[in-house]
Amino acid sequence: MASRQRIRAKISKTDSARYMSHLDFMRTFERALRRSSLPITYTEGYNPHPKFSLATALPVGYSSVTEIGDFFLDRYVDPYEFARIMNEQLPPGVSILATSCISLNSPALASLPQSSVYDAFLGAAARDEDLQNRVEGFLARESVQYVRRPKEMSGGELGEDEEENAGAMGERGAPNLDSQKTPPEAGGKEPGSRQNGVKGVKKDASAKNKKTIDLKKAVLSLKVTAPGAITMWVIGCRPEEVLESLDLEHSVRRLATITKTHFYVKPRDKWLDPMEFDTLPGFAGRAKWGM
Amino acid sequence: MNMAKSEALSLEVRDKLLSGVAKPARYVDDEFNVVKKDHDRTAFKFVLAFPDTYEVGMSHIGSHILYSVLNSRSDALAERVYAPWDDMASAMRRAGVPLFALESRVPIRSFDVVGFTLQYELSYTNVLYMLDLAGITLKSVERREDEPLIIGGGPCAFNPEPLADFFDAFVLGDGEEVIGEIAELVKTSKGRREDLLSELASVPGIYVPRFYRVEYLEDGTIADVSPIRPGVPPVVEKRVVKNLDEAPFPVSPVVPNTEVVHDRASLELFRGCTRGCRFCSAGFIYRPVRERSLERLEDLAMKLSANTGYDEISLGSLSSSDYSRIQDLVDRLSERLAPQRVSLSLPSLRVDAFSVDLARQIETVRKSSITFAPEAGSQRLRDVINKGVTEEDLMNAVEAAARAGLDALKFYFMIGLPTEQDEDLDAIGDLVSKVLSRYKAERGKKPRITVSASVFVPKAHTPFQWEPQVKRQEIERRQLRLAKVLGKAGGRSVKFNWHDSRQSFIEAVLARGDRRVGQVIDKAYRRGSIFDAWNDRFRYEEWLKAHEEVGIDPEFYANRTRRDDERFPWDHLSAGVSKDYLARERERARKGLLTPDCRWNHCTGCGACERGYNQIPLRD
Repeated sequence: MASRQRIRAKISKTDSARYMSHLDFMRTFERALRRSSLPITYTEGYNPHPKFSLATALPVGYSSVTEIGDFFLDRYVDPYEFARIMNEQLPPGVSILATSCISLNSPALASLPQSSVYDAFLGAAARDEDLQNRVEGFLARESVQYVRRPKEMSGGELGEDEEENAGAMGERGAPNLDSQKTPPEAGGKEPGSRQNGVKGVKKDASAKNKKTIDLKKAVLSLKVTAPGAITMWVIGCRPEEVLESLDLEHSVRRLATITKTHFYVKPRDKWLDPMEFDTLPGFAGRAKWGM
Repeated sequence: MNMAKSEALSLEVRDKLLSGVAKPARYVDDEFNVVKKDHDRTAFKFVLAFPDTYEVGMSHIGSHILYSVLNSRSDALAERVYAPWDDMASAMRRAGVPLFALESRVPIRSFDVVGFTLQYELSYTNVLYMLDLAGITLKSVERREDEPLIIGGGPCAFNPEPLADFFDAFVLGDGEEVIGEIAELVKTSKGRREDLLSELASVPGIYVPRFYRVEYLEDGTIADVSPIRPGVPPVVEKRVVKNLDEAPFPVSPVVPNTEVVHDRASLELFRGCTRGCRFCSAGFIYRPVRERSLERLEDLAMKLSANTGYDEISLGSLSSSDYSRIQDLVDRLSERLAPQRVSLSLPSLRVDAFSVDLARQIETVRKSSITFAPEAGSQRLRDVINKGVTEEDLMNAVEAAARAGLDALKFYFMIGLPTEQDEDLDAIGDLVSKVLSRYKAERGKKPRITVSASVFVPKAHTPFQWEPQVKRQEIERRQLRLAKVLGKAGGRSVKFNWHDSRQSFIEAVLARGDRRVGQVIDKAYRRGSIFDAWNDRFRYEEWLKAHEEVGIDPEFYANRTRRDDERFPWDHLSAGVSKDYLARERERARKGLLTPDCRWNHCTGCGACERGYNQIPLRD
């Protein structure tokens, strides 16, 4: 069925929910939508799923009070009711904070330039005066070159192995039945190579992704807003990368709690709140059913 | 009840631990449907421990059942704990944080009972790993009064002897049947640990190993296992849920926040299986067959779907297409679940055209592959193991799969079954060639074929409990032979996976080990063996050294043909099927005689129904 309503929701992902990956977060909404019995539109095809999209992928470990999701419905639901019903179905740490109706053909947020405001709380580990100096030092520089490394292998490596194994495990209960072991003579694979195939590919790919960015251009604003706390407005970079370029020690950075507090898009020449811009004069799309 | 001070881990410390570990979501709760209760106001505190990762443990339906049964009591609470991955374990050790339960973050040593589910032998070192991380004394007899009771259940509890030193008690059979009695006893117990265990030992289905003395013959086999105090039964009988329709089933299971192995809702259609495959432990220990009614299943499925939001419900059982009204069930559920776009799946398929058609009906086109388990290549060997599958069944199934447009076929076989000869391996090659040509004739192109060969592990309480496991070198020769045979039969359209014979060898030792094997597990753990069921974590050399260190020959347990009259380490533990019956079945195996399924034929006299709980509705 064609969608007849699009609800944009501002969503928080806090407390233990911040340990969910983006995929986990997507699945959480899919399941909450199924449980809710709301008239969500289902995608066509053999594997139908509820039709919704999230504007950004929040890294694991970050909190946010400003994730944005667009939900497509088969018939009209009061946006407040939508939030109320969904909040009954979402797990602790995930809530819909606000909703608004937007035009069905309003551009997808992922297709617009995006920027975000983050709070990074370093706590007592960072001395205030020192923090202030580092921030001023950063702002005084012409450019701040940052070499973006491939995804760190520490910790993640174990996780990847595990995923492969978990996949092989599913079929018959016992974890090790479907081991992809090939006899040396028959398959020509080296013993033990089964675990390395995927990883090898990833390494090559990530080596290519290595690139340098200018953080000075990526940071729209940066300031110390409370003892041990930094607030930054950034485009296309992660707050961790900014913290790293402030030369804060790894042990200090690792324990920083990071919260995304604002999210903006730039449909034309200004940064605007995605919850609002569709209703601003000149922005509203035409109502067009059957999308 | 355990009055030990139960200090919950602070969120601040937890978050510090989680800041550097892979997949942190598996160490936090706050999933949908989680149950949290006040420790100070609850008399009986139980933690369900699964000796593997969250992703594996959350896929186990038995744990969800017990979680819901216990939490539905006002005087009890159940929480969960899984084996943390190494990165988390070392972060915990560095920070001095003992293993804690997910829900309350209270250390598991502060609970009244830690209940481990024992699903596979290669998880045994993880039990020690978790006890160690929890700061719980490993040896049962050395545990202090204020430590929790350590109880084990699940299929491996039917030969728990290798773990006897580490557990206070084991539960035989259906856990939901006995867990309430454990709660009552523990709750009201005021006496010493020893007295409580003594009370538990008198509950049917509960085995307290310390109250039994094991005597050995000179050749190292068992002379006798006998109770050493009054009131302790010489044979412990398993517990059985007599009416599954009335048994509780969790319709609001915890929905994980992160991806797990079986990421779907599970509905248990029936328990037990009487097909009688002679290698299959589950086929004997879960007897008799008990079905849920169609009406009850329909109701449960609708509730499951509404309460979880999963896009798939798995119709689980040991052989789901044997459910007496499977077609009606599938028709009704497909219709009713269509509006939410919820699909159904059948995890265990019989090898025949009916099952393939059924699978096609429910699985839309999400899957392009289908799996069959003929287990053996030749009709002779399939008859030996009582796998009532003929070549015609298989070919009809393949044709149905081709008609349905499935591109990939997977086949499970076992290597090293009793009486297996090279001809039986070669027959797998013939079978695969026939499958290829039959499929091609139907569909005009070749399918992708995957052949997975596991290694036969003789299990306790089966007709093959007397049989040796074929030695490793010979297994490897057969694996290579099969690889060549398959190469010839299918060339590039056949992919061959085989099982690590070293893992199967250690599994064989643990599966039929006695109490002395406990020291080996202990040593293997101390040498760093954990997550043995994970191919890349298994450390064979360490296991061999562990055996050497304690002077135990693993071949004695794995590769020896046991005497006909041998007393087994598990003979005092009854799964309801008599040893005489198993011996008769072994005899029939040798003669290649089939024993038909008693659901559609006469009773075969296994003994499982003798207690008056034959609940099998027969087919028209």
